[in-house]
Amino acid sequence: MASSSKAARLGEEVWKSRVDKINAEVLTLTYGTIVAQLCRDLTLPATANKTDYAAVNAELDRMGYNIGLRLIEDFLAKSNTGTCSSFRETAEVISKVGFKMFLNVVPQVTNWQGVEGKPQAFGLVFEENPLAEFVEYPDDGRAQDELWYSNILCGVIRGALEMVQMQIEAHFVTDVLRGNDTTEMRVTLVRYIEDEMPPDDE
Amino acid sequence: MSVYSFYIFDRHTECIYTKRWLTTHAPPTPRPQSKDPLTAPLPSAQRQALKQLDDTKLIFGTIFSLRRLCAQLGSPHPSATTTTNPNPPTPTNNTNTITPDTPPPAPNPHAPPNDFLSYRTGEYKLHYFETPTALKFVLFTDLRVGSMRTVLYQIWASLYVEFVVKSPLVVGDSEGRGVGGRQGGKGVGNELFEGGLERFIESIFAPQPA
Repeated sequence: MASSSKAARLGEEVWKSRVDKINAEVLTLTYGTIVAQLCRDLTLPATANKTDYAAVNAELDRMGYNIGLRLIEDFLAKSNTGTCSSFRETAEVISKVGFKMFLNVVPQVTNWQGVEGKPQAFGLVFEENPLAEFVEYPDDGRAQDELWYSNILCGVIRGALEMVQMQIEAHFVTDVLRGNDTTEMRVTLVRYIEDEMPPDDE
Repeated sequence: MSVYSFYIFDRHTECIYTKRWLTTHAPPTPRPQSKDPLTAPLPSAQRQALKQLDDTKLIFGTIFSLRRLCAQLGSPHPSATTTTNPNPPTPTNNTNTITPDTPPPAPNPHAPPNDFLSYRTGEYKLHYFETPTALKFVLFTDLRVGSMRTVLYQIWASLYVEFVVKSPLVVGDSEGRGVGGRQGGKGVGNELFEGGLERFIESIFAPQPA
């Protein structure tokens, strides 16, 4: 699609020239430390050392949400993109420009669902995930089924899109760390958010 | 060539930043003095603050209405045609309702085609810039300046994003809600942002004659 190759070129150009870069392993290790610490801190209510993975997922999502609220402004300023004309274009821009700019990966947009007016959704398939290098799940039998390691990314996308008037829901459906073949995140458009009106104080 | 004032409004219709350089274009109207303590004039600092509040509300109302006016009178913007109703009465044949001769949305922040840009009166010119995140920048200047869109864009991209969005001390957009009233935008006027803004504006506008 013409717009996707334009997005790809824009992503490449922004990545090369306009962003500061750090060592990827610093990010990987820092993120891993955060997740490990959350697993130690958030335990099931009655126990002292059994991790509450649902709470860890929720906390990662919340952290990502707060990051996304601010990240979108940085993204818009650096990439010079205007408003996207459709949800499909939004998906292309997120994958080709957004992820390229911040993580230097380009997830594939797949499994597009829905048309205008009906619930729309797409999937992002990550071939490589810089957050999840060197990761092994703990051996307590539950992490495999309950923890979504990269859940912070769902929060980031949710926060960022909320600032541009889109309410979405994002969650992982498969993850190579869990033994699946691919890492895929599903993003579903819930609704477009209307402009806020000034309070009526006549 | 001079600049009078500058405002930033966030997406929750609050004014989060105000800066005035000259106030002579809007002289405060003298209030009738009253001997009755109940209706005695408020202390001038409070009056000034109230007037500022009124001003910002007035400005926001103006730009909000002008935006809607331009949107309704102009050609439909692609994102404006998306319905929020998840169950439309009839599924449409075409996936969007853009009329064929609408130009495709320009992939740059310098205005969707029907966005409100500026207006001028006999005394001043108001320049307006809005980001896709519904952040609004308003600049009042005298009549001799041309388009200030690139200036406002620069203020946003190099000053606001660098010193406000990236500052951990500034209360974020959704973080202040529900915590005992509005706190959003607190801390926008931090030193880095103010200093940067002053220097930038000074470099654009010739220094005022002494």
